[in-house]
Amino acid sequence: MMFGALPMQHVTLYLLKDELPRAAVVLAKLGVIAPEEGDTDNGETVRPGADFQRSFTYASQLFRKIAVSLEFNPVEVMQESLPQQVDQQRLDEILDCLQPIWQQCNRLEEQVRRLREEIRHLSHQQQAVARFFNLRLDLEKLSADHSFLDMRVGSVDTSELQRLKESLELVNFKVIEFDRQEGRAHLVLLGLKGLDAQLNPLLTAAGFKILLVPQGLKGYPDELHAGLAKELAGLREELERVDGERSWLLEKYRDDLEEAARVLETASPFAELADYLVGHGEIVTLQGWVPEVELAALAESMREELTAFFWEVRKPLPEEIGRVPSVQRYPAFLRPFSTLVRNFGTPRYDEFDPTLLFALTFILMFGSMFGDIGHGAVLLVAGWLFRRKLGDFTWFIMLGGLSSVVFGVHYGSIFGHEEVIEPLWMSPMEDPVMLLVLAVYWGIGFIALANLLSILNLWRLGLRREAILGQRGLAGLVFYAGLILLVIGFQRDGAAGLLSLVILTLGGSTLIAGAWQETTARGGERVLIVMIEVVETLIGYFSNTLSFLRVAAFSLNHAALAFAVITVAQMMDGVGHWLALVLGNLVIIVLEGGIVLIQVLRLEYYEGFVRFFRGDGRAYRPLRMKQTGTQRPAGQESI
Amino acid sequence: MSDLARFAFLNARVSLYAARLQPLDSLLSYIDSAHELPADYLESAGLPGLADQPPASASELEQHLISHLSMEAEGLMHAMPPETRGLIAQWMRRFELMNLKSLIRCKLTNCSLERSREYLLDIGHFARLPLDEFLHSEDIVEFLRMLAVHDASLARKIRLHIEDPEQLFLLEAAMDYHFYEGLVAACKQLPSREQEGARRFLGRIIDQVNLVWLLRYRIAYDLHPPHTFFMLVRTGLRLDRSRLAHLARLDDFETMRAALPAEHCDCLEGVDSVTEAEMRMLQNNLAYARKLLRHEQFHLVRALAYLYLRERQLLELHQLLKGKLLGFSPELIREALLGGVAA
Repeated sequence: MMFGALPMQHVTLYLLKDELPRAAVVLAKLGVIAPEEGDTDNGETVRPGADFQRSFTYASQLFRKIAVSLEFNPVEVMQESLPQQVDQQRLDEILDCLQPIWQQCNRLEEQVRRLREEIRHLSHQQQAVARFFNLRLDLEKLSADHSFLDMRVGSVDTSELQRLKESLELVNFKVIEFDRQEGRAHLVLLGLKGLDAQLNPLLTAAGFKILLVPQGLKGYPDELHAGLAKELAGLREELERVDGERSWLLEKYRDDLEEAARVLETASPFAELADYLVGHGEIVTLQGWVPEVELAALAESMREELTAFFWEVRKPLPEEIGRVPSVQRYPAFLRPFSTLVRNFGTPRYDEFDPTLLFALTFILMFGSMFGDIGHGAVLLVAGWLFRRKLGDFTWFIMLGGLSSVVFGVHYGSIFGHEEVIEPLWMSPMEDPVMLLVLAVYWGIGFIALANLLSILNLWRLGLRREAILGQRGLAGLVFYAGLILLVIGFQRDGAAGLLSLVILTLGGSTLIAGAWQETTARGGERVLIVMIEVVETLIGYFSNTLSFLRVAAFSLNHAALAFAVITVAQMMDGVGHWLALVLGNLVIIVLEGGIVLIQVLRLEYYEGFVRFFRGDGRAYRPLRMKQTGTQRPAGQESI
Repeated sequence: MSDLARFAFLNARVSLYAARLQPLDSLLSYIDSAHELPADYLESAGLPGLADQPPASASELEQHLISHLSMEAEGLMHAMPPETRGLIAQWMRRFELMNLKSLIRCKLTNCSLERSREYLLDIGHFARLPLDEFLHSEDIVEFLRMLAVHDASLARKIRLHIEDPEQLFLLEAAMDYHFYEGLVAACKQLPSREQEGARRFLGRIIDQVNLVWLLRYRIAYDLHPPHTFFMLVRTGLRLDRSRLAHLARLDDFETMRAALPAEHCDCLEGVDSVTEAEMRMLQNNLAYARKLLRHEQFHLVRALAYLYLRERQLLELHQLLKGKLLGFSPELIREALLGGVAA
């Protein structure tokens, strides 16, 4: 199974309607069935779980909102202590319990919002008042009870300021801005008295908040300030009281909420299954995919837990292959490589799974481009030390390090020092040309292998014409072989060999025939399209092959960089020497290591995967138990 | 890069789409027919889906048309240079505000979840707000708290007006103002060479909106001049700030008409109701949009003109199909459709 998915079976379960809640829990606990939409009969089929799903969604939302509001985190419980099943009635009971709790929370949340807004507003006012009294205004005169003058002090959102000013001009009111804080402009409005009917609706529409009326000016600034401070203290006390009420609510309803969490956790599989359940009357059907190896366990669980059920099991039909989920099980060391493969795409059920091949070629290329005993050993140790944080990727780092060490032994390099041990093979700097030639051969092998896999995958997919005549098919491979033999012939004998010409012509003409058949254009346009396709194939193969020169280039680069670090270090004495060595090697490991990693991934993805790997498979997502989450949405503050 | 290169793709796409715009006359000929609209008409109007699967209800019909408009707007956006796409996104935001208004009404009247959902239109990728999340809010206060997370300024404006159920039109007005304010801001974000054309086109639309609001607030709702003026958008084309301020001080339709710029004054000749005035202005703007579509080349404003015309066409189609669905008489449907082109 290393190169393909686990065999899957299509399962149709016939369940009793009354046992659905229990069956959902059993299936979720086992976690092997990936449900899929069942066939519906001319719209007559009902969805027996639809009401349950609606109630569950509502209850879950209420629970999440309450949990966020009250900062409630349910205690994690063992699966064994969860209820056996949750039916509609139990779910409705939980809803009835949650609704009044949320009503109280909602009231508290709104109170908190108002209090916070008031506190912010009053704090601004406090500062604004201080500035207001610094204005060069004759406050005594202003505060006198003039029969003709209307003066108001207050604030408005800066976004509304301009149009408020313009609108006030219509009633000849003057606006003096004396302060601006956090998006609010503090203003003095001055105009004729007796225009309240015109003025008040305008100020309400603009969201103008009154700070002082003329009588307020009679108080001394300190008194006014103190008054505001007192008001603020009152609001903060109120906020604390609301906070206390929240804690009280939490304690009062803690048990209910714990119970709700358990019920919702148990109810979630049935709610999730609701989209897939179809049936008339008392019998309900569920379809899905189960790995063949899990069938026995599934049957046993169902027999143990349910009073009755019936099932049909069959192999996937040819027309279903595209939607069969693909499950691969890897040993621990392959898991990080599998993650990187899935980063590109999920292998189809019947597709060659490139994970093992990817791992092997990745390790080889990384080691050859980053070959050094010291640097590899650092990666090995770092991988081990940070294994908890790295998780599955521990193996990825350690295998990369190990490969570096092995290649380091062949290159005879320890932290760039090539005089310490005798190389098993040679230092990269010793014969760069040979290294470049080897890299090209490696590229040829890599591309040829990718093409072979492409032929295999195309054939399995039923795209036989493309497998034979296509660029990524047999024709492309023969054409590539001809090209390589032609170049080798020229390099060795100075002329093209007959064999290479025959192979090239065979491959090229097949490619042309394939492209000719494929295009629907006519006449000259068709010739042009075919020519472009052949030229593109030719250029593509050349550039892809040359792309592998980077394998040699980076091993040379690595050796040269290490040599540069040693040279710089040798120019210094004492601490400077060691500092240059340590920092230099650190830069090599982190920076160059990162670049090499990216380059290898690039080679794998763009010279390898795009040739043969479609990656349009369906990931295997079996029904499982889920925990009730309580994270507050971004941007929403807690009380 | 020249405008020709920048807008070549958009220009081609608008030209292709423009073939879907059918004159109202062609639609009117189907009013008396007992049957549905013929498939070839719907196909030529770019709506073959309506013929394949006729909508079963008025809301389904509305959703189909809105989805279609969103899809076309998205298609236009993809053909536009990235720095100009914001304007179309803001243009389509009107539908999201329509959804918000529906949601507010539902919250204020304690509509059920299912009923509230029926009022909401799916506007695809143009949706910026998590309406489904809002839908599940317990009441209006929770809804506004949720909205504040995404658009604090809008939530604040709504809060100002929500407490007075008698004056809910002020709430709608504040939301509409928010939309036009956003549209003007999006226009200002455009590169300078696109700005002028877009500003002129949007300015005409804003003129229409301002004039209707002005008449409605001053004459129908009897609001005072400062309040009325406060609620008008200041970036119209002919009805600039000082003109609006002057108009807001007047208190009868004839004096207002006389104080309008010559173009608008002529346009409103013989008009004696706000609705009629609105329709006249609309026809004027539709004619201008058609002119832009015909004569402008390689400019963003052509796409805006198309969307404006297309929206009108879909609205007319909606009126006809909805009328037929609900079994209205041909006279009533004709009246609804011709209300816009009378005079």
